[in-house]
Amino acid sequence: MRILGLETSCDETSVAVIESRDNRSFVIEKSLIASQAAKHAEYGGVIPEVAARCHVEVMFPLLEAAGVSRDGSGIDFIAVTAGPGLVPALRIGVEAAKALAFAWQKPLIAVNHMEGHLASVFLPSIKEPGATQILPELPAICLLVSGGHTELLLMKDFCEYELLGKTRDDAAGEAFDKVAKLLGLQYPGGPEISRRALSGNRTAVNFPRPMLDSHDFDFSFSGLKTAVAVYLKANPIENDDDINNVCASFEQAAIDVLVEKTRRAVEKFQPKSVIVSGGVSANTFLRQEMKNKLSLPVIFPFIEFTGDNAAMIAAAGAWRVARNELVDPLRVEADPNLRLV
Amino acid sequence: MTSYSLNETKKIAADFASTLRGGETIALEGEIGAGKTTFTQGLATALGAEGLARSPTFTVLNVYPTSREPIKKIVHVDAYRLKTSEDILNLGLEEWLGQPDSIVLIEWPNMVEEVEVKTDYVVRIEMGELVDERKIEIEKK
Repeated sequence: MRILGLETSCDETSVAVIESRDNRSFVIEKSLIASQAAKHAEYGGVIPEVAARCHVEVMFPLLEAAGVSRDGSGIDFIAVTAGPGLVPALRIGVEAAKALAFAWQKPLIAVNHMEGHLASVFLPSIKEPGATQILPELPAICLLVSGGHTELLLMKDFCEYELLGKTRDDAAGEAFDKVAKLLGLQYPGGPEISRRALSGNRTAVNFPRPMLDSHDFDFSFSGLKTAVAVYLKANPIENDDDINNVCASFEQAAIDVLVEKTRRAVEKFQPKSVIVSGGVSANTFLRQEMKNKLSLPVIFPFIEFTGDNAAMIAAAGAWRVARNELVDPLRVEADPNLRLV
Repeated sequence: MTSYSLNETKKIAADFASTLRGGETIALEGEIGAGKTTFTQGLATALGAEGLARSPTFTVLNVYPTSREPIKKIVHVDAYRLKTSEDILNLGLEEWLGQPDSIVLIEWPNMVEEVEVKTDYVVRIEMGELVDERKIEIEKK
């Protein structure tokens, strides 16, 4: 079946058309993410470079560039992110999807953005078409880690989840971004911290590993962020080495917590694999430490699908189609608090 | 007021929450790590929010259903990633501002020029001398 995916949950606008063979194997025919497509020679001009969250302005250019026919022929299902996310942003995608579903008389699926991130590990690479893909075996322990979310789940089977824990304050990606800001680094801060950490000493500063010893699977990154802020006030940066050391020490602390909590969940639930997805899953040091410290397969999405994108939404949509979970296009609404579990 | 711990910050916020009647807009100012989200957690819990308020830096806007009538929800905004006044306006806050069943709380880190959102209170949090010390000032406008 061919699925049209729409994603507008926060910063990005994305449209994708995928072919689903079964729940595990997908062919991506088109995957367009506004912020990238605008810079692409093939689409530049057709898809304008607009500020983040200008979904209204790029939605239809994206649909057109994706080659979606005006009458929806060839599309079997429409999958749209219904939540969680930013209400005004979500609504653009949801209303566009509803209108298309209604006009084309095609079935509509309301997708949970977090489930999209879980599905992202099943997507093949477009940038490297031949790249080897290792698919996760279920049940899996899933770490969803991004700027807005940090959650640990047990995925018993497709669409069957148990929430094990989540952050009580800041998401891991946010901690990276704010520490980068405190250090005066360029946006986006996360990758910059990671890069500089390679030249720094990971034990230069002993930052706290918050909640490492709590007997649960919750996280807290606010304390780590504040510890860096307090450290910098007492030890002002004097040179590049100082910056690199703080980056390395901070990254070590953050990754230590993510890896250790995941490891404990693996120990308790004995899954067949681990899935790590979301924006922070692009972090090279996290990938390395997870693979080194866990003795079962750890699966990450291809880097191009770690961020928000519609291909993953279409894939998650396929999972819900298999369970016949369609929604009434006249009734579905954006839900900023949509929960997966 | 001075707070020497996360819990004290939350207590100050809870006391403040007990004075709210619904429809208020609160601006929250302070640098990274000052305790803006911690303050919000104390306020939200006091108003009967289920679960913890979380940092809206990346989500931009969080809505927490609350149970202390007549306040039914807290709209928690973080302007950290917003650049222009248009960004704020595009959030469609008019839907909630001044509504008797809502409290709107906007975190303004010290880097965004405040946009004309009519605020009823400004809460300023400053880091103190000691590591966990915070000076909290609540101004009624």
